[in-house]
Amino acid sequence: MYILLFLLWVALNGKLTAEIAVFGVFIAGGVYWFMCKNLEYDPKNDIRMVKNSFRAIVYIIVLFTEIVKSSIAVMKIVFSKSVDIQPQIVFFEVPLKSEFLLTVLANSITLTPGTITVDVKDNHFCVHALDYTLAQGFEDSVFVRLLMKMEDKEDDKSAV
Amino acid sequence: MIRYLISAACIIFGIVVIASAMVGNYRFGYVLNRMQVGATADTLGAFFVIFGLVIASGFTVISLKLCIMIGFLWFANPVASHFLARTEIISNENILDEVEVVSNDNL
Repeated sequence: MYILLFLLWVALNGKLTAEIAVFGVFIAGGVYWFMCKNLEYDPKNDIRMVKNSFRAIVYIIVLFTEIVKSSIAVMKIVFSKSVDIQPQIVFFEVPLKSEFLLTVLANSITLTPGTITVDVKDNHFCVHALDYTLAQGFEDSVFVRLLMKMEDKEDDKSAV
Repeated sequence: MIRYLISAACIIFGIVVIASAMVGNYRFGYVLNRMQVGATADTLGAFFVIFGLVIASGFTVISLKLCIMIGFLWFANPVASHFLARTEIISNENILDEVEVVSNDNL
């Protein structure tokens, strides 16, 4: 995370000189300290992040293909001659525990066109969908399966 | 030359997506359905326009900043939509006229 902050600083500066690098080391350190102290960030998360980075990249690619697919579905509905849709609100629950992964799932559902997460309470989701075809199969969707894999891995590590 | 053609294609596709979201906004009446259609513009449309600009500017710092912009948009957008949707569903008394509620368990 510290390296990411430093890289963000360099990217926003636009060029890498000795002066900018020295400032960057101190500013990234300050931000990191602030995160640990006030935003409940744990340095242990760094290790977990590195271990899960491959899965995260896979997840982002899957998320992107899902967005493209559902965008095309929504565009079809928009350009169809008669708008006959059945909007639905669906309740379902997922077997995830970690709050971070639940947030990721809720944001992915909202980011996918055609579905919006209305409410999340523990692991119960309430999702509004534009059409009933888009509202099917949330419990065992690709997102949930990938996130389950990530959580299993974390559980194994904490058990060891 | 080929690079500019690819970037132009990306930008044009993004604009088509945004235009379809605009058309959809006029075709649907209810706020939640409009938000769903608008979400295409926020995610795919914005992504393709910015991605076209990234290709056009090549491997520079500007494209790195544009990538950061995509990330920021994709993080901030769901939060805003979520709050709008929840406010609408909590405050609308006649919600059942517009949507069909399907419950999988006893919530």
